[in-house]
Amino acid sequence: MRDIFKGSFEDIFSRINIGFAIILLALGGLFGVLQLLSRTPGSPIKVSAATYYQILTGHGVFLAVAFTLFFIMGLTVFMSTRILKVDINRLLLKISLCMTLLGAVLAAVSILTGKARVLYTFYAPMKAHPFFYIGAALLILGSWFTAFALFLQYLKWRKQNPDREIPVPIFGLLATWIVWIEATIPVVIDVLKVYLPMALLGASVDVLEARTWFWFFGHPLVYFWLLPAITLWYYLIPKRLGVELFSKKMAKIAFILFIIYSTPIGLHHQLVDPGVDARLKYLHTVLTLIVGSASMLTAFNILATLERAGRKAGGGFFGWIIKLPWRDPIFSGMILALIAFGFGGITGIINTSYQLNNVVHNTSWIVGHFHTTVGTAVALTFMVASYGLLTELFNRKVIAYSLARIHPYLWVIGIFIFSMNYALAGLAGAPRRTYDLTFGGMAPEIWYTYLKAGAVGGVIFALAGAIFVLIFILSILVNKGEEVRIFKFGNPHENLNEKHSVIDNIKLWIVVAVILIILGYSIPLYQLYSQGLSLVPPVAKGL
Amino acid sequence: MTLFPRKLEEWYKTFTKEERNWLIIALIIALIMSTTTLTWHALDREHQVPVETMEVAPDVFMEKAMRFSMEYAGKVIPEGVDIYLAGVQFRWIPKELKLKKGVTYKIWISSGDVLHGFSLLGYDGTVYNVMVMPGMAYAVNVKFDKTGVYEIRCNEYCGLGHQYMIGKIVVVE
Ligand code: HEM
Ligand SMILES: [Cu+2]
Ligand SMILES: [Cu+2]
Repeated sequence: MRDIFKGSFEDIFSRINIGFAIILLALGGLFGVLQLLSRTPGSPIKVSAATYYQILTGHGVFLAVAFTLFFIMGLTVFMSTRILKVDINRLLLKISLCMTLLGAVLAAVSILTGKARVLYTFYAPMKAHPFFYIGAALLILGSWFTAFALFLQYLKWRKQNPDREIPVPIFGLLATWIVWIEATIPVVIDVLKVYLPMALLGASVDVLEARTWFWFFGHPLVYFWLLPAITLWYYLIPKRLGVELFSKKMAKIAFILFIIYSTPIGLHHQLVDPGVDARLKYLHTVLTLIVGSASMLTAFNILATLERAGRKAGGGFFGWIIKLPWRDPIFSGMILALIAFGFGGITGIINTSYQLNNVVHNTSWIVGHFHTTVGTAVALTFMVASYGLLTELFNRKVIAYSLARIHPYLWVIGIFIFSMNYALAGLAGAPRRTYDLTFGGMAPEIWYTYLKAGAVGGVIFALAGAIFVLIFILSILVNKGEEVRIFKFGNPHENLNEKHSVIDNIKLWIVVAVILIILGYSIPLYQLYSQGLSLVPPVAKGL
Repeated sequence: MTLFPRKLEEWYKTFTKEERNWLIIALIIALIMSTTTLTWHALDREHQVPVETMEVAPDVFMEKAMRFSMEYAGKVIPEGVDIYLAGVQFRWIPKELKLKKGVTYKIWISSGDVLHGFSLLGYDGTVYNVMVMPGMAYAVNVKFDKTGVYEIRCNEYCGLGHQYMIGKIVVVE
């Protein structure tokens, strides 16, 4: 155990972040199971309403916000130091680590002591303990230092390699952190302008203002989770197969589309909000559908890579599919994650489709949607990548590898049963974020069927999650490193071509992104402030 | 800062045929989806996105809803009367609305405290959801073609009693 904290500071940084992320995953997953059982009609296990909303806040914050952020921080530094092979600024990393950990602890304390039952979206005018907002601000500001460290490291590399193209994984990581900066500026404004005055001084708030800034952040946030997963697909899937990625250029174009389009589309979360101009809602719908095309580029690229590998291994027209290494959990996990993301994308398109939104908004359909996206496309990718990180970063042998082979399949089977039934329950009108779905016996019969079937799926994927967490923790505790180099995570022998004057021009894409953000958000913000704020007092009672 | 050191067409030519085609297909799909969603909006009368809104302080709106609720308690609401429906921890005011079949009503929906969600569920499978925002009222125009009971549930977390927030619309001849 002790040697986890030996080695270069960069690696220790990555180990702490990734280890902490896995602990959060375990805790959040436990909350998930308790929620699942509590909201299933007829279940013998049921927590109280207060506990339910408390752990639901924990589930959202620990998994969607903290697990993802810490994992991405660790992964970024791990990959960038190995691929770029230039020094990263350690002071920035230290500041980043201290601030984010402190922020996470403050937020966790406020949630676990029941002082912040506001869910992870913390919509005003609900008021939580100031620790919750201060923790969130520290978490975000702290993470910026990792972003700065990466940007500086990249610039240093660029200086040494002025005419080489950017390696695809580095392009992905840069895109990730650019999107993160785009995303978090509005939420920092939101917290400083609306939430801290409310929490500290009891100031009144304009709910639409708070929500507009929040979703200005909330949508690019989901791309911040997704881009590292896509980066891992582009990077590791070809490596596991021993072929080149089908098209590096297409991969980069997909990332570029994410950089420029991920932000000016946040109003698709406010399609049924009063006070937002309908034409702007529609504009953001269209922009969202365009960013969907980036995901199609990704799917094409990966599938074409698979076909190339399968055919190289001797498969025919369809035969190439069985030639792929399905017993390799890192490969199978990532492909299953990609397939789950396909379903997530389809449900997402329905969510964003203007008036279809009012059928699914805030129903358990949404729960089905995000457990296939962040809950699988992202979480499963990170989990299986962790098998590789165990050997390459933690210097450990993965124990019970045969169980690790089953884990991705079990997870995805569970997720599909869960998400499908929750989606159907949503179409039948069952709400999300609700503790007791029987409504005193007034709920339609059909909900019970879906919720019970969904619970079966939930238990299955929770079991898969438990298998993963146990493998991870036990490998670290008992299985000291042997030289098992099944995995070549940090050892790229990519040939870098000459740089492409437009695609590899990150500066250009940042400029385009800023222009689009201004186009997408200047009118909504102008309308918001010109129609005059409608202030309402904060509410702390009843939470 | 040089943003475009090379000509655009030169840049375009560096794609292979497959790459170019797929890029175009992806964009066409996005455009088709955007136009269908707009056309659908024009054709589908069931799921309109409401557009009319009004700024209103939570206490003012609460008063309107209470007054409305007292005036029409147990009565069928006549045509042409604006309805005020308030969500407040943890109930709807009024708790029940009696509406006439085939008549279009305007329901002003807002909140007296925190965010709530207005989720209408019909026995015929109708599902319709909009946000209930304090400080801002949303006008939802409804017309029911069949008699029967429609339930209103809150579907935005609003506090510990959130799951008890149930209301009703009864449609009569
Ligand atoms: C370990 C197994 C898991 C189970 C059994 C589970 C179960 C659930 C359930 C039942 C809900 C709905 C609660 C409600 O709406 O009242 C929920 C919400 C949610 N889950 Fe999970 N989940 C799991 C894992 C995950 C993972 C891995 C992620 C993402 C990384 C995730 C992200 C979310 C989010 C963001 C919400 C929404 C919270 C909110 O509405 O405030 N879950 N989960
Ligand atoms: Cu979004
Ligand atoms: Cu509620």
